[in-house]
Amino acid sequence: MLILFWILALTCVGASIAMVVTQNPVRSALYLVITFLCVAVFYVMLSAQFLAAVQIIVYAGAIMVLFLFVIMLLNLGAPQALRERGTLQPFFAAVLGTAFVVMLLLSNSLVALSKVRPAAPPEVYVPLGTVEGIGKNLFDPKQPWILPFEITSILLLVAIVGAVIMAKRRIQDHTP
Amino acid sequence: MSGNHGDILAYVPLLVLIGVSTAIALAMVVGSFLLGPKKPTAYKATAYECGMTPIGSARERFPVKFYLIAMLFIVFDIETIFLYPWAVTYRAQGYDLKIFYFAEMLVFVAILFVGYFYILGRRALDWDESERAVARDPISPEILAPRPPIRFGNEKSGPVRRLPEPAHVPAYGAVSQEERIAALTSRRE
Amino acid sequence: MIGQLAIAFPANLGPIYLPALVPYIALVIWLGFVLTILPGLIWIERVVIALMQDRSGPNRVGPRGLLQPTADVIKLFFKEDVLPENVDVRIYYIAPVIAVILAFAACGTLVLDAIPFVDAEGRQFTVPLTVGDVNIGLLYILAMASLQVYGIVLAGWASNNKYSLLGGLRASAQVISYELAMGLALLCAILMAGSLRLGDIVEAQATRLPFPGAPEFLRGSILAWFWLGTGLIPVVLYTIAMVAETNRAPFDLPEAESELIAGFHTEYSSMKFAMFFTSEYVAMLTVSGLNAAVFWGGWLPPLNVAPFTLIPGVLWFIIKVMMGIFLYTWLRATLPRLRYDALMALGWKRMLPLALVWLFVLAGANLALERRASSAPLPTPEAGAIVPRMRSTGGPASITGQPPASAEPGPQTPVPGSMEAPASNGAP
Repeated sequence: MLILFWILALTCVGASIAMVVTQNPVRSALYLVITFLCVAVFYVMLSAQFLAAVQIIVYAGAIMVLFLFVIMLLNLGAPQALRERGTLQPFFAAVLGTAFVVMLLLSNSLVALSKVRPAAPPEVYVPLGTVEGIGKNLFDPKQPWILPFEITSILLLVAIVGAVIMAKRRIQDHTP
Repeated sequence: MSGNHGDILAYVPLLVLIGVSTAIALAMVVGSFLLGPKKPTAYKATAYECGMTPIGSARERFPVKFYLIAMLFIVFDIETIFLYPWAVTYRAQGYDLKIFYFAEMLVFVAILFVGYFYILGRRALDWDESERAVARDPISPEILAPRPPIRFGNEKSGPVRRLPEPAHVPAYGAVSQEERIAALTSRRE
Repeated sequence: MIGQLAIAFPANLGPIYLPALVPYIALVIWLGFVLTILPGLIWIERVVIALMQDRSGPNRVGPRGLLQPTADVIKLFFKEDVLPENVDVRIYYIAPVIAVILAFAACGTLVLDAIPFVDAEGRQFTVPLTVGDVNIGLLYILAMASLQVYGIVLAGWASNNKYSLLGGLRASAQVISYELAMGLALLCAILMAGSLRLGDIVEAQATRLPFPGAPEFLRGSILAWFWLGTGLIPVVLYTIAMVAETNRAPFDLPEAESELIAGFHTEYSSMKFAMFFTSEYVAMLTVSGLNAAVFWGGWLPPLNVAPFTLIPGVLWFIIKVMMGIFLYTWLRATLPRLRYDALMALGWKRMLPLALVWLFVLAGANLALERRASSAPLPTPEAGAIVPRMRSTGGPASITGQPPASAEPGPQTPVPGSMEAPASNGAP
C-alpha cells in the first residue's frame, strides 16, 4: 500500500509539474488528466470509492473533455506564440507555491510535535465513501445537506443559462 | 478497520487488469513497429485528402456548438451523479422516508428541467441553424411519416409494380426510370 | 459456473483461501474469452451481414472463411507503420494505446457468474465471478467508458487531417451525449436493485417475481428480469445508447465512409488501425455484457427448470453477450446512417427527458406499491418479494439502514436459500 502510494504520489506531482512546464496545450491537458487519475486512485485508497468514480467521470471524463474542446476551439497555434513575456505571474506563482509547500510541512510537523492527536478511528466501521454511505448522508432529513443539495441544482441551472447565453451570442454575432 | 481494507483490496485485481490491458496495448504497438517494413516516401507521408494535395492546416477552428454540448454535458453529468446515491438508497427506505427522498429529488430535477426547457427554447440543441432546419424539428412526425417508396427497378422481389403517377413532381426531382433514360440518351445524341 | 452442478466448493483448500483467487480466475476467463472471440467476432459480423445481403462473405481462407480474421491480423502486423508528416508523434502513438487499455480495462466489474462456496463451519456463500467486486461496480464501467473519448479525440487531433479532426469531434460529442441517456437508463435498474454491484443487480433479478402472485417457478425467470421489470423503456433506451456509445451503425457518423473517409483513424495504418478496431469490438462486448447483466439477468437461465439450469451460468452470460453482438450486426445490416442533427436531437431531446421522467415514474410506482403494502393489515408476501434484499459482502449489513418495512424477515447473512435458488437447483 505504501509503495503504491509513493509511486502514485511521484507520478501525480510529476504530471502536475509537467502540466505547468509543457508548452503544447493539448499535452498539458493530458498531464492534468493523469493528475486527476492519480487523485482518483488516492480517493480509493482513502475508502472514498464513490468520490473516485465521480473524480474520473466528472473531472477526467467531462470537464477535461471541455478543456480539450476549448483548446481546439481556440486553436492556440504555435506554442511559441503562447509564451507570455514581461509578466510577474511566474514570480508570484513560484512564491505562492513555495509558501504553500512550507505551510504544509509546517502544519504537519506542528501536529507531530504537539500533544494533540487526531481523533481515533471509530470502533464501528462506517462506510462513508460507498454509494450507500453517501446516499444515506446526503438525502437523510436528519442531516443538514438538503438545502445545499437543492441549491446545487440552482447552481447547475445558472451554469446552463450562462453556457447557452455565451455560446448563442457568439453564433448570432457571426451570422448577421 | 478490517471492513475498510476488505473494500479496498477488492480493487487490487482491477489494478492487475489495467496492467494486463496496458501490456496488451503496448505489445500491439511494439509488435507492429518491429515487424512492419519501413519505407517512408514523401507521398506516403502526406495527409490523406482524397488524393489531392492537402490545403491549409488541418487543425482548424471548429464550431462553438461542440463546446456548448460539452458544457451542457457537464451540467447533466453532475445531475446524473447525484442520482446514483439516490437510486441506490431509495428502495431500502421506509414509506415515510421514501416520500421525502422522492420529493427531494423531484425538486432537484424540476429545477434542472427549467434549465432544460430554457435550452430547448433558445434552440441551443438545434445543430443545424439554417432557416430550413430551424423551421422544423429534425425528427418531427412530418419527417418520420411514411412516404411512398422510391423504386429503382432493380428490386429483387418480383416484378416492379408501377406506382401511380404523382400529382406533382416530388421535391427531389425524381422522374421515372424510363423518362430519365430517355433524357440521358437524348442529351448524348 | 460448474458450481451449479456441484453443491459448493470448499472455501479453504489447505492454506489457500479460494474466494480470494476468484477475481483472477474471472480475469483469465474474460480476457481469454475476449481475445479468442475477437477474430471470431469479425468473422461472425462479415458472415452474418453477407447472409443478410444475400452474398457469400469470406469463404477462401479456411473452412467457411474461418481463418480470414487470423490472416487479417497477421497481415496487419506485417504492414508498414506509416508515420504521416506533421503529426504530433507522441499523441499519435498514445491515442490507440489509450483506446485499447480502456477497452480491455472497462470490463473489470462485469460479473460472469456466482460461485457457491462452503467454508469450514459449513456455511454457504456465493462469490461473484468478477475481476473487481467493488462497491461502485457499474460506475467503474461508466467511468472507463467516459474516458474512451480521449482515445478518439486525441487520434483525431494528432493526425493532422481534416477528416480525422472532424470525425474525432463528432465522435466525442456523440459519445458524451449518449452517455447521459445510458446512465439514466441504467439508473432505472439500479433503482429496482438498490446496488451498484452488478452481482447484486443480477441477484435482485434472481429473487424477483414477474408480478405479484406469479407461480413460484417463474421466480427469477426471463419474465422477472429487469428488461420487463423496469417497464421496457429503459432497456430500449440503453440499447440505443450502447450502439451510439460504441460508434456503430446506424450511429457510425464519426467514421462515415462516404463523407469522412474513416473518421478519426484515417491516418492510422497497420496495427495501430487494428487497435482502434479492437477497442471498438471489445467495447461492444463490454456494453453488451452490461446490458446482459443489468437488464437480461446476467448468468441466470431464462427459466428455472431442469434443461436450462444444467448449462453453466458463465455460458448463459456469454450467450446473452453474443446476442447483443448479433443485434449490433443486424442493426448494421438493416438501418441507414442517421444525419448528425437527428442524432443529436434523438439523444438530447428524446432519450434524455424520457429516461429522466421514466426514472421518476418507477420511483413513484414503487412508492404507490409500498403504500398499498403498508396500509394492508399484514405485509403480503408479494410486496415483500418485490423488495430485493441487500447482500452483505464487505462491511456490515447496517450500511443500508433499517430494513424496509415490508421486507420479508429473511436472514441478512448471505445464506438465504431462495437467493441461491438458481444456483443450487441441480443439487440434491
